[in-house]
Amino acid sequence: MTPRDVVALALWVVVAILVIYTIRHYIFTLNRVFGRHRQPYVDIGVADWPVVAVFVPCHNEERVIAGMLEALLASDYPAHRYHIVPIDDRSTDRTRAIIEDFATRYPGRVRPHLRDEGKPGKAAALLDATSRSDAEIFLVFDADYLPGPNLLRQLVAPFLDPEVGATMGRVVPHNLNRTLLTRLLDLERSGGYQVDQQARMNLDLIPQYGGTVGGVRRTALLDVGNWDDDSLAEDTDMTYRLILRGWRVVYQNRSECYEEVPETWPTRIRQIQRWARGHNQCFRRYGFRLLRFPSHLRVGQVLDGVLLLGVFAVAPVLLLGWALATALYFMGYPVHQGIIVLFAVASYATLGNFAAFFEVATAARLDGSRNRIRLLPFLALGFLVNLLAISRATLSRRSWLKVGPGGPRWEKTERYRPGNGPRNGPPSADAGGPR
Amino acid sequence: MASSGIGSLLDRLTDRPAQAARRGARGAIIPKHRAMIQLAWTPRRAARAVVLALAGFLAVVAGLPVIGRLWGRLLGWLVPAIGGPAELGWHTVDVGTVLRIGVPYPLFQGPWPEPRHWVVVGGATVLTLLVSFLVPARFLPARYFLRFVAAVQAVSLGYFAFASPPFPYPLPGYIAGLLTAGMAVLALVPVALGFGFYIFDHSLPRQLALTAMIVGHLAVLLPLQGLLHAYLTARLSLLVQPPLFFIFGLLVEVVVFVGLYGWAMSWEGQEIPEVGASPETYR
Repeated sequence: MTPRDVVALALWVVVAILVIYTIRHYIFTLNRVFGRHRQPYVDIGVADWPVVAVFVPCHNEERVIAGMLEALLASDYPAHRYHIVPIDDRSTDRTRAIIEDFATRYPGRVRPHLRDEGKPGKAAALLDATSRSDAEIFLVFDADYLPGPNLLRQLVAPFLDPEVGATMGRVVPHNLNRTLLTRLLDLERSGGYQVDQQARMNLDLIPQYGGTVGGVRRTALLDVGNWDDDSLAEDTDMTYRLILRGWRVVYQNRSECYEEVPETWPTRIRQIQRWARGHNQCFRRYGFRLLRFPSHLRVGQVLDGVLLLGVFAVAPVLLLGWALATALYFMGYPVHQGIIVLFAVASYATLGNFAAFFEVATAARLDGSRNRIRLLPFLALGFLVNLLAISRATLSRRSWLKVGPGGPRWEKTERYRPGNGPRNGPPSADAGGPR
Repeated sequence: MASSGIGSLLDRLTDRPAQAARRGARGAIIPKHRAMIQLAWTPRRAARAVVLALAGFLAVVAGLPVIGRLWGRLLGWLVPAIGGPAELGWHTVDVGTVLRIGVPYPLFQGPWPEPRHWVVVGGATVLTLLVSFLVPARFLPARYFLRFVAAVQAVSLGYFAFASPPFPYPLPGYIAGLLTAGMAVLALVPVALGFGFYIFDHSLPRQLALTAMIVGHLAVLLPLQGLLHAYLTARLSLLVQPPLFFIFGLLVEVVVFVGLYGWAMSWEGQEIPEVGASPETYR
């Protein structure tokens, strides 16, 4: 075997991995459009609603926390069955004062949990706060989110099924008309939730608990050993621990919550690098455990679980593919030799590259926001940035350590909302709601 | 508020309980929430997608010899106009025994790099890299793209610094390969649209229009792209051929495809309603 053959073989392995993900894109998209639609809990309107604690971890969230708390207080969930726990973890801005003001105005309904010591970070804050709560269901929101009035009911309804360990709702950007980046992120989110997550739900695979618009059952949380405060991505970590323990995770496409997406590229890069490191940490923790094919999981669930864990590792694989193809090119590989090889190359160039665009375009079309689909080719710009940013994060030592250097810490996404956010819950159309 | 497409569809089917259940108090249609919207996989829809994809594929393949001849006429006129050899090369592709496709290509020769090429291409590479540092942060993708181009070009410079002739991919053969692969892409356009576009709720004329637009656009673009690659390589030496192949080769066709596809996916259909501007619509 010559060096050229070795490089060629490695390239074919890379191509095989990429083809698997390409096929996955097509399966998910076609399933979302034509498959049996599963949203079994969305119509539940009347029930013996369980007691719910809504946790909002905060670290320097003065720009957004008031809007979040007001939106939660406007919920139509029975008022005596839920309370809000804003967790302030060592904020140095006005976050704590705002929270305490709400606690004064809404005694019993807003019950702050204030932290000044212990491990920093979202997972540690959640571990601390949920350990002191006796609610049956824990819902968790990021502080920049704006839930609609009926969202709590929708997210809690699946827990009426005793097999359900966690639920996740859909994330919709509300600041999408700010920059090209926010519009591209809106398209990406649309593909990720409207197609990917719902297809997983339809196919009974592994919808991901995303940690920002969702909840966990207390008994399930205790069953899997509570939040791991060393985790870089407590949401993905929780998803896999629940699945491996036999709990089900439910995605509710109808349960939409508005978020603020990054408006600048550096912020976006930091965000996606954080996700990549957390995801890769989970890959290391749970990838091989899944590949032992636990008896309670179907083969499809295991494969989907592994592919989902590996999704951020694809970026460096793709870069490696480029490097191998370049090496092979200079080694004199006969790229255009034979019509079959030529057709295969052309097929991958068109159908392979088209898969992700197809998924996003389909999602945006299902969303009924047709004009936005015209930005489709600009997604290539986002893909390029993601490719390099994720590869850099994946290849960093921090991606694969048990705990990051210096231990866990708050890794925050910059907020852009002026002042304390809207006074009456969700954004107005003028504020840039979905179109 | 429902689109007229949905309204007319339901008007025809008002005796069905499922549709009747979506009637509002005054007879208006209550649109489905976007989380619930799907399309029905009917035999007619499936058959139309398959037939269109297959017919389109066969039609394009059958038209490739004609496209090849048109490329020949275009290149035969353009190549001498930019100082190239008047005679064209012809690469023949046999599709079984039923079809023989001639792919024309200009006979520009790509010279092995000489000192002046090193100065121009090396200087341009350094300049590209420097410009990338001047690009504002809000245009970060452009910055990354420029650096990516500079990196691939730098690899090419590194290769030619140590390599000796001959280069494995002589320019005429490279252009012939690019255009032949381009013909394969043309044939694949209806196949990709088969499951990426024909399955949606657009009217038949719109489905045919998108196919014709993409195939037509690429059929014109490909020989011009090949000619540009040949011209640049002839002028700047083989130093520039690798980045042209990797970055400005078939990826350009993919971007064109996606651009037109994205536009067509924004066209009005017959089943999926457009959502209004108010977020209240979704609650």
